[in-house]
Amino acid sequence: MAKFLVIQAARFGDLVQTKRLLMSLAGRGEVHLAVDAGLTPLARLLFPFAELHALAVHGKPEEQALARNAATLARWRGMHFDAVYNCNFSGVTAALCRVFEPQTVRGYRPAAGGVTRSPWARLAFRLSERRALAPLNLVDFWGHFAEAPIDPRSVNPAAAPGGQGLGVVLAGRESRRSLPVPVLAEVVRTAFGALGGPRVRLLGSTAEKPAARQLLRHLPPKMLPMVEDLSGKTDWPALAAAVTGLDALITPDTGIMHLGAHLGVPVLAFFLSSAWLHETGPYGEGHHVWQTCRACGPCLESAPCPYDVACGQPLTQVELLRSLAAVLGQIKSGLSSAGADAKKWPQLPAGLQLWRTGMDALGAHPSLLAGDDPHAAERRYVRNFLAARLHLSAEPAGSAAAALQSADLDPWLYNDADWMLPPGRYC
Amino acid sequence: MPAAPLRILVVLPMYGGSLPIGRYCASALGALGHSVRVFEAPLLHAGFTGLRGLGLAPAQTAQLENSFLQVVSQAVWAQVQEQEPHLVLAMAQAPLGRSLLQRLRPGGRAHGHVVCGRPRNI
Repeated sequence: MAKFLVIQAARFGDLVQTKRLLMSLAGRGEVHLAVDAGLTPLARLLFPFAELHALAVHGKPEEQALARNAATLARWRGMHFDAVYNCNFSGVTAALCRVFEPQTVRGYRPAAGGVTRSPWARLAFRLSERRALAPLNLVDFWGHFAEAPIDPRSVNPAAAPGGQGLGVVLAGRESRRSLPVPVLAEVVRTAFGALGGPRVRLLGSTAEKPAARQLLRHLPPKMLPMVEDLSGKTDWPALAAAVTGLDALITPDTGIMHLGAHLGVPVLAFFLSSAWLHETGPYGEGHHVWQTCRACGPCLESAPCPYDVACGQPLTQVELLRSLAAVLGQIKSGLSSAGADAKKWPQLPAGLQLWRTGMDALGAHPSLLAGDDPHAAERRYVRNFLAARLHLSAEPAGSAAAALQSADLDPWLYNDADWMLPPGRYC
Repeated sequence: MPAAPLRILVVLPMYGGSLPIGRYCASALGALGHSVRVFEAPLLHAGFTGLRGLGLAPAQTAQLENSFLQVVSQAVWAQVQEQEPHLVLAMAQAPLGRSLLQRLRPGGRAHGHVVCGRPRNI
């Protein structure tokens, strides 16, 4: 039986987003998964079919941590893997991959003086130069590390309410991508009313406890008996249990959001600043994302914002709450994807879009329900280019996207060296 | 002997599976009576691979390799100018950059681009 190792040394959300790759490999052989030691309990819950290898990659490289990695490497030396999928463009994971024959390693390989990338990874890096046009979800990026990955529709269950009330993720790791607490309070209050006053669970780590207290102060007193503050109180199994079966999950772009999508919980996500639905949106059918779309976005979280996070302004408007109530109404009524596309949705303020997630042959493919998308034609062109490169059909030939003038896009998408050198070359 | 023998430039890749195919094509076209010249990209292969032996970081190496490929592409153009071929037959992975392809197109100089590789791997 073939044996595969996947190294995913990034954090919570990235681990969940490796699912398509892992499931694709699980159908072909024995899957081993190397993750940071702190994530192994979560990995065990998410991917029970995988044999786990705990790494010490986050935090300080203390003596104990280095010893752990040395023991893992010693174990790997004695194992034969048919392929090793290194998901991270990282010196640390590349160094770990030095125990394997270079041609065994997929994605990112160690090289003298650094890390080399596969043609697919290089292309994705090129796409990230113009993020507003890039149409590739991270789940599909990693999924296509494997030849012919599984059908994207079979990765996560379609979103469906489970009768366990409303979940609220208080904030993401990057604070700029989260709704300010007063805005979040209005969103929660509206959702509470639209869902008929269900139980509400506040979710987050210990770092979000102050935000939870602040949110509770902003909520109407009559709501409080229904609200359970779980921030800082859940380990990984308890978190998964708290998210399972929710009717809806209100969240910024977070690991908990990806966990919700993994479980088929209807996600109501608010993406602003550096968060970009087309890259890291919830994976699966039937989730909803309100995406801000200023000309300066999506931005780099690490760079200071010269506009005082003005992209968040449309999220403070009353139109957002009307839109939210309409979406919750359709979730309760079980409106189909086609029905959602045909429905007339409440208007949104300028700079805000409402998307419903869906899938095509390539993977995640959201539909715009409300708002304007100035980059739609270009994004379709890029998506068709990606589909053709993967020998997939994203949409019928001769469509509007195929007819788009591409003089501006082609030099970006096609690199001379890609066709001047033999395929499969890492550099 | 064809009624109108053509001047044909066969552009070989520096290395890879298309290289022997390119040589077969050149030989066959010559046997048909055409005037065939071959762009011997393999002569430059050692210089190209030598860049990887310099011990530079991958990003710098990739940049130098791209620059090297442009030089090779210019060498193809020099040969085109000298021979003025009716047809440029480029094998898969032949060192023809975008700007050279554009230069070949509008001047009325016919060219064919034979792709033998698997596009999904580019």
